[in-house]
Amino acid sequence: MGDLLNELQQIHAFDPTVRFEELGYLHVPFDSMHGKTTVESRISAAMHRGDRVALIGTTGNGKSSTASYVVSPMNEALIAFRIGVTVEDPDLLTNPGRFAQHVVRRIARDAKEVSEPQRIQLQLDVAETHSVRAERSRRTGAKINAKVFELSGELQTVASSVDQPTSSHEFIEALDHALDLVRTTGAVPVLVIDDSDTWLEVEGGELAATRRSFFGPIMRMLAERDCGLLVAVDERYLDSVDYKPARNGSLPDEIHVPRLRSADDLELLLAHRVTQVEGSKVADVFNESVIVKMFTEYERSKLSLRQLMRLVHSSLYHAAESGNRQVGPAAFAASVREFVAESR
Amino acid sequence: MNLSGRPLLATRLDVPLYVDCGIEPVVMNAARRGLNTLVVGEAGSGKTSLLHRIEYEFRNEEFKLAFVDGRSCESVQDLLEKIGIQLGVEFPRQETVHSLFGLEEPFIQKPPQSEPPSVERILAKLVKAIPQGPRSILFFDSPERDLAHAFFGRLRDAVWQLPITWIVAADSNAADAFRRPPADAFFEIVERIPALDDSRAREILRSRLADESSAGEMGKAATPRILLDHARRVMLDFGTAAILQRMEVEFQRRLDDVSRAAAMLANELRGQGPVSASDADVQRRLGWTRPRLTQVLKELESAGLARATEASDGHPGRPRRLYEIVTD
Repeated sequence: MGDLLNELQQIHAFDPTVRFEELGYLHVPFDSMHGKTTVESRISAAMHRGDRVALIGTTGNGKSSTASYVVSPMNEALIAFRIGVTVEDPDLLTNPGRFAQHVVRRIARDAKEVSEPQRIQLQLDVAETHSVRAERSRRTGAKINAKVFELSGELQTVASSVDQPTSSHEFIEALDHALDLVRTTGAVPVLVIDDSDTWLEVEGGELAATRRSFFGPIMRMLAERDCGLLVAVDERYLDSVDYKPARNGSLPDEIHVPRLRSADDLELLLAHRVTQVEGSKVADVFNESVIVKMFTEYERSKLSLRQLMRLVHSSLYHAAESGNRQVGPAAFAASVREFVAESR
Repeated sequence: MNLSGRPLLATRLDVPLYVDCGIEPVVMNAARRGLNTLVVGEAGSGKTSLLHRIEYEFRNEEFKLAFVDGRSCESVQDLLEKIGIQLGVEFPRQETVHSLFGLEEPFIQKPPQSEPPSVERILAKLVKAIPQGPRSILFFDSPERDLAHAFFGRLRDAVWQLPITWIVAADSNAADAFRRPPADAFFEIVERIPALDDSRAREILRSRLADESSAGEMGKAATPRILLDHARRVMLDFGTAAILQRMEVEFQRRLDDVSRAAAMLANELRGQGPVSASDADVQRRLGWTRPRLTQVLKELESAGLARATEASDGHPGRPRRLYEIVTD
């Protein structure tokens, strides 16, 4: 059984560095965890209606995972494009027209990224359970809903039409054209922005102006388009003056990513990650009391989910090191000591 | 209702908005037979839309297609590079550097000045590199006169070697560059986009307006772009067709009061959207220097024939001043 610990450690089952699309496969929906429909279901409903949502949470607590889960490529009714704002050209983030051009290019580029196996699988797509589809999506390297593939050539044409510097109005018109094209598939186009925390620590100067303009005129331009808009927003932005225009206008609907409420929540989460090694169960890896200890530490030290998962990851190492077949309180305590020492 | 005057693209949304001008079957049949075609038209007459319409049609046929915007080509090398990329050729690339401004596309460091032998060498390599298989059709939209003459004239015999069938659009102002030998022999077929007649104008408006009844009242216009411009004004209640006719007369009258150069420029730029004095294309078309163009644009502005706005063109620094001809 020590092999299982090693294997989970090697595949970084709890502490993965994965592409945005893969985050969704590892996500345990808060709605199923809590038996409510206040997070994923609400976001999903808003996206299907083509509405705008600010997904609020602190760093490392699952904003991107939640977003990725909702807009996953296996969701047939949505076609999501992830629009990065971590770009070097400041003009892109202060000029709504240029940002529209940026979005058009992303859409055209993503449309080309439908993989061959994914296209073949698309033909076979019939009603299947969520997990079967998830597994297949993952295996075929799905990055985007395959329906968009047939539009690839047309979207390239639209993108080339904005290659020349032209007026803001024309860039925005091209964006509408691209979004309307995506709609012809019967699915709703969704724009996802999950890296806006890039300006979080910014105080004054040019970058503060960028932040202001991004949450102001650019967000307004995006809000006026006929598509779903899902923006991950760090909680600390909420009181910022720069964020005010978004809060009062472009992104009025705020959905908070909750924290885990109990050791049971944590167990569900761990159980899902453990299944990455086929046939294994949570009880094969963790003894019962350690999960309670982990949750207590998460609460006491106000850890983020990502921090907690890193601790879990290093507990695997400590347990295996001591020749144990399961992660117990001692291994977890060793990880916490290490963590405390590092943060000093 | 869609009264945008932008060129129609090769997409399923734009195709229903396109109204044939009559020469499409000739151009398509010529291309199918491997003949090079030149399509000549005024500014705003629908050259770009026509190329895209044919591009859309040919997507269902066994061709490899490429579309190059001639206005974005700065040199013959640049053009060859774009053709290579479009046709998926592993091209002898110069060193590429990533743009400082964060865009994905690498740009090509241009070699110092164009040297004919090197261009010919690139052409020769391109001839070999274009893969066998479906025939390539290249849509080349409105290259500037100098580029056109260099490419289809001076380099004609080498360009002829490329396994490509050309469909090239030319602005009437630049058409002479294609007619001068040796470029004249390159195109087997030359078609001119006919003037906009009443029935086509009505058809265009019908495809754009939800309510067809107003289509009859838009008055006359020389090109689809001007027609749509008028239609927008009428729909936005900026005037009726009769008022637009009067405005047209007034516009022509005001042209009489400015210098000959200014009147020429106003007619040249009319209906083509904002331009700046640093626009190399405009400078070349008129054969003017930048200071001269600035001077004449200012004259138009002070005569109320042009409106100026500031726009950033995607680079940091001072925004460009853009001038647009106003007819009201």
